[in-house]
Parts: sequence; C-alpha cells; structure tokens
Amino acid sequence: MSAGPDDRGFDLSPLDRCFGGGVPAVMTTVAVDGTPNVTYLSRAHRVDEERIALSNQFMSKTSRNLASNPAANLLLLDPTTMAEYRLRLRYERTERRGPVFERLRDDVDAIAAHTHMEDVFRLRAAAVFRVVSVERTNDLGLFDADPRPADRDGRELGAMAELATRLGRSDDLDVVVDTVLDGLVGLFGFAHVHLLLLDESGRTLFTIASRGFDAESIGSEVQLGAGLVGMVASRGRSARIGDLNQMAKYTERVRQEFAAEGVESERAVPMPGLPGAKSRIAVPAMALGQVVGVLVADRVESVAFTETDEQVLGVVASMLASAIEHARSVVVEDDAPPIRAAPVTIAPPTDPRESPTVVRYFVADGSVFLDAGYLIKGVAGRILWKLLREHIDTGRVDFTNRELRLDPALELPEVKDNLESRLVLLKRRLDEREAPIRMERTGRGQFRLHVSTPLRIETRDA
Amino acid sequence: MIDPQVMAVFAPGSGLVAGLVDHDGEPLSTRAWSVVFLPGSTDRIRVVLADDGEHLTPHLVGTRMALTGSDVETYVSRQVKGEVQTVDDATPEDRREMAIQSRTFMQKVHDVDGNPVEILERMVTGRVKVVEMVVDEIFDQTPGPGAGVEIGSSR
Repeated sequence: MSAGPDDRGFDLSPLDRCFGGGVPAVMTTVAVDGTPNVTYLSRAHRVDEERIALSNQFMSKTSRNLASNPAANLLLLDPTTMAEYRLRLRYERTERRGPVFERLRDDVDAIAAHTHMEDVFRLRAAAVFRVVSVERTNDLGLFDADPRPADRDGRELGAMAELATRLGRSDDLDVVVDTVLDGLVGLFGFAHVHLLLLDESGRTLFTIASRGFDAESIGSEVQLGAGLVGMVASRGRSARIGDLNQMAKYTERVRQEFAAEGVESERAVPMPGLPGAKSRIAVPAMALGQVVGVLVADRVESVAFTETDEQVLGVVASMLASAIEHARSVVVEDDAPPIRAAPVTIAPPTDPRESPTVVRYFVADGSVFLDAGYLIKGVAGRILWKLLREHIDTGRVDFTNRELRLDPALELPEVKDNLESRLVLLKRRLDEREAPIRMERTGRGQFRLHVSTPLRIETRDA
Repeated sequence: MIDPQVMAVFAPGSGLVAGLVDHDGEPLSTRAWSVVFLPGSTDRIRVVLADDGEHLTPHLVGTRMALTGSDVETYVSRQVKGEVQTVDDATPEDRREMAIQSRTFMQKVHDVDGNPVEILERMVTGRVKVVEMVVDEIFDQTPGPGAGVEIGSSR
C-alpha cells in the first residue's frame, strides 16, 4: 500500500503511536556519491497532516547528506500493533525557534530532565520534512485494529461532566484532592497517579496524594525545575514520555560515550513512580496563570498516553487548580472573623502502662520522627510539633487553622501561606504511616487531634 | 578488514537496519533479518532484507548499501557500507539463518524491554531478498559524540 497526498493532505493520524517514541525510527539519506546512510532516531514528531520534524541531536552525516540531497526515507513502527510504515520525505527547513522547535525542545528537555542530563541533551535545531508518500510495509490483517475504544471522546465528555459535578460538591481541600484522584481512576481509567502541589516558597513540589502505588509517597518532594515533574511545573507545559525504558537505555549509552571523552554528567536519580512503567505523562495544574501543582500518571505499556489523555488530564488539572485556589480563598476568608477562643476539649487519658511513642523533633529543618521512622518535615513538621506540645501541656485536642496561621513560630509567609495544603499533607502522611496520632476535620477551619498512645517528646537542635 | 569486534555487533540478537538506493534514486530504509560473514572472505557479507514493498530488484547491483547493527541492550552500533554484488531470492539456508537470527533478536528484545515475543513476530515480513555486499567502510554509529566517526576504510 502506498499513498500520496490528496487535496486535504495525508491522514497521518493512524500513525499517532509511531510518534510516541516507543520504538526508534529508522532514517536513510543518500550522499552525493550515492552512498546511503542509515541511522536510528529516538523519536519523530508529527507537525501537521503532511509534515514531520526530527530533532537534530547526533545526525552530522544525515545533515550533510540532506544539505546536498533533500530526499529521506523513514521507517516508523507502531509499538502496540507492530504495524510498520515507510515514509518518503523531503527536507524543507531547519528551525531554531518557533512553535515546532519549542515542541521538540520540550521533548528533548523532558528526556534530559528525567535523566539529569541537561548538560548533554540540548536541542540545537529541528529539521522539518514534507511527507511525499506513506507505504505500509507489513499487512497484519486482524492485528491492525486499533485496540483503543472508538467511542473514547464521547465517554470522556460524560466523565468530565461527572467529575465537574463531584468537584462542585467538594467543600474543602482534602475532599477536592480525593475527588480528583478517585475520578481519574474511576472515571478515566488512570490507574497510577500522583498529585504534587507547589509549596509556599514556590520552589518545591510535594506529593499530597497518589493512587495505585504500593510504596509510601506522600510528602516526597521534587525541586522546581528538577526532573520531568519539576520541569513541567517550572514551564507550565505538559510532557509525555512514550517509553521510559528505551529512553533510559539511550541516555545511559550517550552518557557513557561522553564519559569516554572525559565529559561527566550527574548520575540519573530515578523519580518515584510505578515500577516497570514505560509511559509517563505530567501535566501542570494552573489557575490564574500560576502553577498550583502537577498531575502525573504512569502506565506499564509503551506509548500508552495519547494526545486525548493529555487533553483530559489538562482539563482535569485546570479544574483541580481552580478548586484548590477556591478552597484556599474560602478558608482564608473564613479565618477573618474576630478572634474568639477555640473550643477546648480535653483528651481522654491514654493508658500510662502502654509503652510511649517517642516523637523526635529536629529544630533545624522541622523534621519529625515517630519512634525510629521519619514522618514529615518543614512547615508540616512544625505544625505537628506545635499541636503535640499543646496537647501534652494542656490536653487539648481541638484546634483551628486560624491559631496556626497566627503563630509566628510556624514561619508561614504572609501571602499564600499554603496552610491548608500542609494540614492535608500532614493528615495524609499520618494516615499512610498508620500513626498513633491522627487528624480529623471537624468543621471549616477546624480539626481534632486523635492520640491513641502515650507520647514522649524530644527536641533536637541538629 | 572486518575485525571480530565489528562482527560481534552484527551477531544474532542485534537490531539490523539497512539503507539502500531505490530504483528511482530515492533513499530506502528496510529491516535486515540476518547477516552472514561469508567464509573465506574478510569483507563480503550476505544479508537477508525485508522486501514486502518489492523494492529490492536487480537494479541494486552496483549501487551502495549501508547496514547498521545495534546491540539491543546497550545501543552500541556499527555501520558498514559497500557495494551490492548480487540480489537473489532467499535459499532454504538463508531462511534457516533468518529464523535463527530473528528469533534471537526477538528473545533479546523481550528480555531487555519486556515486549511479548508473539507481538514482536509481527515485525517479520513474509517477502525477503538476499543481497551480498563487499564492505569497504566501517563507522561507529553509537549514539553520542562519536556517532558517524569512520573506524575503517578500504575505499
């Protein structure tokens, strides 16, 4: 089968998964003397219905050939069905700025960020080609069918409406977070998702909730700009990686080749995620032009996330960001009424014969350990320490957000203090650790501490 | 001129792709399913190439061809180039070699990347041609700063 463009151009959409980076593409060019050059390319990008773009990373021979002969031939493989396509191409131009260049640069930067090879992987140029013809090289018969459901768009619109309704009924940050993550799993089929929120300093993202992971992840942190998630937050643009395994192999080889020439890169630091995941997508949650957090989804299959998935996550992330901002503003407004004494409830006595839980607090970074295990640090750690000291000194169990907000010892910023996010993080971390200390929301801006064992608290200066 | 280190990159289990010149002078990419270094020769290889599009015709004789072999796990790659000497249908021996080498390749991809072998088998095309080529140039094709560097030539 071979086809040229009709009046409306090509329909390259059946090749979508070929452009996901799951299997390297194969490119042939021919030199002036008639000698071909064949090379692997980590990923080809679809620009429009009749153009594709390739990142010019290590293609010196290919570039030289194209300068004298613009004809090229590309093999693309669909990693799901193994359908293979041969594209005849004509080199048109090289771009060093503009939307196509930006798109390819985001892709290269995502790879670089994920593997901490920002010093090596930098897009210098994007080569744009016109597609002259498309040929299927293998006929797979029944296996050709697209395994994805055909009525995807319709179902997702309904799911989006349902999620919007559920969000509309969510009355605080804790519920908003659960509603979105449960919706992504139950309504959209994203089985493994993380939600990270930007902290009050605007420099660090912390995981506030996840679904589909065995390992503890609540509270894990990513610096703004670092790794794939940090890059997505700093740029406010989403990123999709089609095959983490291929990418890791490729970047490790390039790292070793550079190392052989005396150029060392920082070792890759794997981001916590689904073991064995090949596909990852990260989408910024933005409201009023500001990044609030990042939604991350993983799948074991190669090139599992489509453009539609990216759009769905993008809409959900926007709804989430708006809901979070709204929840925060409502709570802050509720804090405004005149100060009145918080209701004091005395805790029921714990059994003194029970061996106490040792709570260690490190002043330097606000980190808190329960017995030998790390629990939390920073603002959330300082909050917990304040609550526990108050509880031990007075027996109080009921607290308000407002009294925390007014406590200078917590070092909350005056604007956008992120207190509600920190309280949700603390509550979830205590739940995740099945700690003998738990928090329960008792009303808007109010919560109760539940302590089920005697406590012994220790303060360390360093 | 082909030393054992280069031959190792084309051993069964490697990913093999070929670049040729089509009958109208256009570049042509295809997959190779086996490479045999012919006994008694230091530079002649016999390559089984996928040809479902029926591009591989006798016009190739006298044209140049490039063949890249890559380690599936490490991406260490070499490219050999040379002139096509013959274009033939596959013999039973070629088909046996192709079966062995393609099976080894798919098993290695399965071991390294986790893809099911029964899905990978769909890559293997029914129609093939066999070309013999005399290698006169060898290049390092490993991704990185050394990609494209010539490491052997008799041209």
